[in-house]
Formats: sequence, C-alpha cells, structure tokens
Amino acid sequence: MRKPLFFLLGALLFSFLQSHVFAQAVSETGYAKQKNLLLSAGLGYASFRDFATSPLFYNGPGISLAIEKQTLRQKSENVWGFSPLISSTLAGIPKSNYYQTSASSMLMNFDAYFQYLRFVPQLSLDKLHIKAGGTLMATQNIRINQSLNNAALGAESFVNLMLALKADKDISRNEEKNIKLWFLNIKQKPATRNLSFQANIGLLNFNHRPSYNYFYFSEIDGNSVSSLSSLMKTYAWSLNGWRVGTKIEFSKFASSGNGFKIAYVWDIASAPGKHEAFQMVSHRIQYSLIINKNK
Amino acid sequence: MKHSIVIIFAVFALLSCENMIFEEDKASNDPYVNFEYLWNEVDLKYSYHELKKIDWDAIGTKYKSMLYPEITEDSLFTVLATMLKELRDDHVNLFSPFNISTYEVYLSGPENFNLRTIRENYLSAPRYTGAFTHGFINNQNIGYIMYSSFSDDIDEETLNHVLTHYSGTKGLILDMRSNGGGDPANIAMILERFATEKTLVGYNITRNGPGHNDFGPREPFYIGVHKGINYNKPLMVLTDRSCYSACTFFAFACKQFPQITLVGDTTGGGGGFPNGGQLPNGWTYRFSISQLLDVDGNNYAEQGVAPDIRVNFDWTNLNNDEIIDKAIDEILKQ
Repeated sequence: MRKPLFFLLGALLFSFLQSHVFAQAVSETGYAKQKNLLLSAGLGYASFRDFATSPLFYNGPGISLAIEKQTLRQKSENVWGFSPLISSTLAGIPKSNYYQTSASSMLMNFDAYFQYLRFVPQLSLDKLHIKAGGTLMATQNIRINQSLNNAALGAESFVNLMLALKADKDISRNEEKNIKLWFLNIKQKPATRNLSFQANIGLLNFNHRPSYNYFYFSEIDGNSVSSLSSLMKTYAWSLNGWRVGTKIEFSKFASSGNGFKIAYVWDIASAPGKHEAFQMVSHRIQYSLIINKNK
Repeated sequence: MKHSIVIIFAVFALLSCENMIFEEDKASNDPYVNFEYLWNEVDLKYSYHELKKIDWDAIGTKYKSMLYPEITEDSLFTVLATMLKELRDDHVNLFSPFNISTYEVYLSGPENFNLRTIRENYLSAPRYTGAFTHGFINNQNIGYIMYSSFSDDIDEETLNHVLTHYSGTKGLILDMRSNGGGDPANIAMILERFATEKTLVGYNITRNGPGHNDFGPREPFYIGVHKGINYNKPLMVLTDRSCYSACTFFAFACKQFPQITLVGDTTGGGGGFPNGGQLPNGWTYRFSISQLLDVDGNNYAEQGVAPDIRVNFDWTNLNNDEIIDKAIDEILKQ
C-alpha cells in the first residue's frame, strides 16, 4: 500500500524538478502552447469475467467513441477525456454435442480521465520527447445479462491513479518525396507527423464491487422504489487489484494545426473487490479528428 | 512502413500478454467440475440451510456418487436438478437449453382457483385495465380486482382509474390466487394506496459469509402512503398455494394493515430473494440468498403466509367460489 504511493510521488516530483531545472532548454525544443479538441470514433473488442456470477469469459466487438480536450504547452501537456465503449459480448461456453447453450451480455464501459504529463529533457533526444506524469481514470461499467436472472445487472466502478509515461517520436517529413510504385508516381508533400507510445500503470486502484451476495431487486422503502439504492447498498469500495493501459498513436497535422490521429488503445484491469474478482480487457482502434482551438 | 511494423508488433504483443496475465479459462463440460461449482455456490450463498435443516454435505456426497466421467448432459442435468430439489424451494432452478428444474410447491396444497367459475358466475362483463381484470360484484356494491402476476407492471394511471371506479363500493376484493410473483416494486405500488401511514412491514437479511447462518444486518421494508387517490375501506386479499414469491411478500406485508384481511389458503412461500449465476458449462441457476423476517423477527415467509380466514374451493359445486363468497360476507359484516 505504501510502496506505490512513494513511487507515484517520487515519479511526479522527479518529472516536476527535471522540467524546472531544464526549463530553458525545453522552451527551445518543446511544443508551442496549443489547445486541441479531439473527436474520435472507432471499433473495439471487450472481454470480461465476473466471478460473482460466472466463471466464463464474455467476449465481443463494440463501438468506441471519445471526446478529448488537449492542452499542449512547452513543458507539459494535459488531457481531459470521456470515452464510452459499447460492446455486445458472448459467453465462451464449451462446445456441446447434445444441445448448445448460449448467453450474451451487453457491456457499456464509460471512461472519464484526466492526464497530466511533463517533459523530461534528460531522457529526451532531439526527435524523441519523453514525458512523465499521472492519469486519473474513472470507469463505470454497466452490464446486462438476462440469463443471470436477478443478477442480470452488473455495475462495477473503477477509480485508478496511474503513473503515465509517454514517448513522442517526431517523424515529420521535411522535404517533398516522390515514390514510384509500378506505373504510379506518388508525390508526398512535407508533413508534421508524430508517433507516440504511452503506458499507464495503476498505483492506487479502487473498485466498487458487489458484496458477498448481490441482486438488483429494487429496494422498497416507503413510496420510493429505486434500483440504484439497491446497488449502493449491496456494493462496496475496495483498494486492491491492478490496472495497466497502453496507447500507440500516429498523428498527422496540416499547417493549420488541424489534423488526424489513428490510435490503438489497450486497457486491462483486475478488481478483486472484497469477495469475488472482476477482470476486463479492451482493445480499441480509433480514428480522431484533431481540431486546433487556438484559431 | 517501419512505423507500421512497430505498431502491428506491439498490438500482437499486447494481445498475447493478456492471456498470460489472467487466470486460466474456467469453461468446462467436465461433470465433476460443474457439480463441484454448483454445490459450492449453494453451500456458500444459499440462505435457508439452517432454517430447513438441510445437511448439504450429505446431499453432496449422495449426488456426487451418481456421476461418472462419461455421463450424458441430460443425465448430468437430472443429477444436479434432483440435488437442488432437496432445498424444497421454488426460487431454486437450474436452467439448461433443454430443461428447467423446478420444485413446484403449489402441488403441496389443494387447487383453490377456477377462473371459469369466476367468469360465469361473478364477472359477467369484466373490464381489463392494465394488469387488472376487474368488475362490480354483489349488486354493484363490491369491487373485484384480479392481479395474475407481479411481473405485469402497474402504473399510477391504472391504479387511479381502478380505485376511482370503485370509490363508491363498500369494500374491495383483490384476487391474488395463482399469482406466481414477479417484481416486488409492484408490492409497494399497490399497498401504498391502502396505507394510512408509513408502515414497517418486515426485514430482509442477506447471506454474507461462508457459515450457513452468516447474515448481514436487517434491512427494513416500509410501505409509504400514496399522495393521491387511495382506498381506505375494507380490502379482502385472496390467496392460495400458488401465490408465491412477490405474492407471498404482498400477503406478508398485508398482515401489518388492520383493514386488510387474507382469505383462502396459505401462500406458497418464497420469502427469500433469488440471485443468479452460471456454471462452467454455460447452464445458469438461481437460488435464495436472503430471508424475510416479520416486524417481530419471526421467520415464516418461506413456508408461506397463513390466511386470516381459511377457506377452500369446493370442487363439487363449480357454480360458487367459496373464497370469494367468504370475502363478500366479511366486507358486508364490517
């Protein structure tokens, strides 16, 4: 419990001190201040297992959306974001030669996050910028699986404070380039391009999971009948488990500062809760429009 | 091109990584694995082991001996279903795509409901409003309302209409016979129309540990007073052994309202809320995980709620419903 805290504080302090000591150097090589709005859409694939109700993995494709507000400064960058992933999953039921069972679950996964990264010049090269900081990630899952009767609704939450490390590689094309492909002569104009890799590693991992037994019948309390009150009563917060996420992005900008981004996002988490664990992983491939809000 | 290769390599590396991180896949058709899983779940979470004096260890030993490695899925279902039947609880079911196990508690009492007798001799021109079948009986001075399932949702408009329609009557009969239960939210929707003050009707306790008698704190159930159209004259609620689960809960709650009388037979029970789960072979199950206690802490709902006036249907005379007749007499007496 204490070790991750010291690690997080150490990492944040390290990145803060580094960026101040080398502030002069950064201003020469870092970003100009820029505000971007990113609108993303893509495809996803989710997989989860909730031991409170089933030992089986549920897997399936989904649709991913995201909206992000990004601020890039000379020494730092931050991102506010919200990203839902709606997936239709099927249980990984073994094959039967008598009568095949099937079960499906709708998984709605809502991520809200804030990320703050500072430039680490000591570890950076001219075309490779290393950044370190933290990500605060809050996730709400809503799962509906009618075959589980009164446990049909699952609604676990995660709150993770994560160490964030990012490597930005400038792969801009500075000169016009001609490519000959059989009979085609393709002219490639100079372009600002960037390839980045980011890893988020959970340090403080909270999860909101069912208690020993749970069901989602509405509580009957006077005139008020509320399913939500039942969830609030039968679920409990725990500080345990882990979460890791990575993101690989390719960005391309026009001279206006607008651009697009193609990203692959991987997120994996385990939440033991107080009694029975929940495990989930998601993959997303997203296309984002980058809108320069400085204009 | 070089960058694309890096991205593709990283994606595949992560895909294979997650298979190593999580524990092995537990999906299995092995009869012993599925038996153990179900037996353990019931052992750890079922709520009536102690109250019903169930020796779950002995039952496990008995039924496990019936398994063999080549057992067919149909025979495995029979073994598991018969084991679950030992719990004597209609909130316990095993669901496979080819069969569903049940206990059928209603067979332990006489049949006390004949729809044809009601339609031919009491409700000549019934009205159908939402989930209710209803009409005037006994020369227009009593209202009869049949509610067949708590799974049929009720809304404010329906209750307003029906209670306004019978506002001039001397009393109401609410026929809950053959109502197998459903959504308990509908209990409060109906009963709050007959309450004159916020009333504690019982407590729920939920299994919260591995010991068969491990339960969490008492959670109170209250019925409030509806702010709108209510009915405060006598109400006769008709019950039988097929009145189960939410219907038993309804009858149980009625015991706290002096103007409500239960007429007919003991309800079927089903006082515990059932949850749900899935076996490694994909079949699903449910069983009770809680108990219902009355305001004094008495635990009788699982065995059924006894009527205030016990009356049985006389099947030698299909022109009369003795239970409705008794309810009419009681209203006219008050």
